[in-house]
Amino acid sequence: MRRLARWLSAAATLALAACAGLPPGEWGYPSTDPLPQRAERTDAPFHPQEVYQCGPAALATALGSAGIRRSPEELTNEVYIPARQGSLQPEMLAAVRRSGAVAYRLAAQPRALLKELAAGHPVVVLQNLRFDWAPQWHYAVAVGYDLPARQVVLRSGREKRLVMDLDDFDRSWAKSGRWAFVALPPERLPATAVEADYVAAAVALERVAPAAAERAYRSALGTWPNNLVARIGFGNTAYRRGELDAAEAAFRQAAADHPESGDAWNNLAQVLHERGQRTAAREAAKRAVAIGGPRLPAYRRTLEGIPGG
Amino acid sequence: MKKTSARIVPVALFSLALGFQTPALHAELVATPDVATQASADAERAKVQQFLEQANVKERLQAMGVDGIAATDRVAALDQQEIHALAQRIDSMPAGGNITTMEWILIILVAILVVIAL
Repeated sequence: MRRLARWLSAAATLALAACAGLPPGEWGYPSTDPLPQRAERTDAPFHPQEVYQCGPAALATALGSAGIRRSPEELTNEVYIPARQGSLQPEMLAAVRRSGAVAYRLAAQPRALLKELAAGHPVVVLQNLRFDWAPQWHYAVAVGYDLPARQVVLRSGREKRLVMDLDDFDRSWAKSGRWAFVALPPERLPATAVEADYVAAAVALERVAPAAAERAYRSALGTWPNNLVARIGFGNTAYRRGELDAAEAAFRQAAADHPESGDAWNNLAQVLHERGQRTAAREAAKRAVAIGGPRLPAYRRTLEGIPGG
Repeated sequence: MKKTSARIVPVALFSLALGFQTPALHAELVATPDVATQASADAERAKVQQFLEQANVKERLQAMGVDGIAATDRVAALDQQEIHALAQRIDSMPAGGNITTMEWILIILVAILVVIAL
């Protein structure tokens, strides 16, 4: 028994030594892109966590900071999984969208986290508070940092202002592959926004909250006016609201910026047709059919739906 | 006209059967997620697979204690990649929560063993 115990403890020590996930991250910052020494969203709301409910609590904090009031109790119905006693990452993002905010995944780098915090955007992080072989997964919200003191400030569990050493925090965060996201109102771009990723986040939002997605498309187009998906998305959301003027303008712009896009011509054709501009509609639909591609059958149906010609 | 509707009806039924994630725009507007994906010629097959995965994820959520209506809404809020990821590895995916009773027992066991060993 004693030998077994010794063996087990040795095994445990080994496992402990081998528990690092990603290598230590780079928390320094190049002088070309300086960040403030410290930043903190002191007004980020705090929701003390009930048993197993760190997911809903973290969501409520992040959404509250974005000006969207949702209680952890409500959010529990959207993310909590009884048999797992916790919440899964995709569902955390989905709950943000259901609340009408953009869920934006950060690059797995300390700098991305710091940049968002410097912009006043609290960041939901997934940590493993224990070992790789016996993980304790935990969602917390980073609300600030202090680089000279090497500290990260979190709303975590029952701690309203948990101050963690940067290295300790990084170790726990690295074990989740530095998984993190921000939840922002559609008018506000993440500080680290990348064009394709942000537009993809807006597209994901369109399914559950089209009005919010329309605003997100507008934000995207403000920075990347040439983005085809955002332009068509904006047109589609306007169309769905019955704003044919705005939809036509968006599809026209999309077709002008991307004359090779059959989708743009097809959608323009449909709107023109509904507005009684038959000839122009047929012209546009023919362009779409001529371009072809995987959605050629849909373009053909559009063309066939326009009488005359 | 009749020919057109004869073509549209099966498409519409197919869309309904799949429960397209994007509420179908009436008429033939190309929906934004379709614009966004570099759709292959296999788009239809991909949609069937999505539909199956969606049903699968919903079933697994229910099996894990999420009630039926909530599970439907929750699956509807996921995008295609997320559904795919869940369908592939919902059981191994980390669930951020808190320490479970079972884990406490394990930890205490290990701690006791360590103390005995020393």
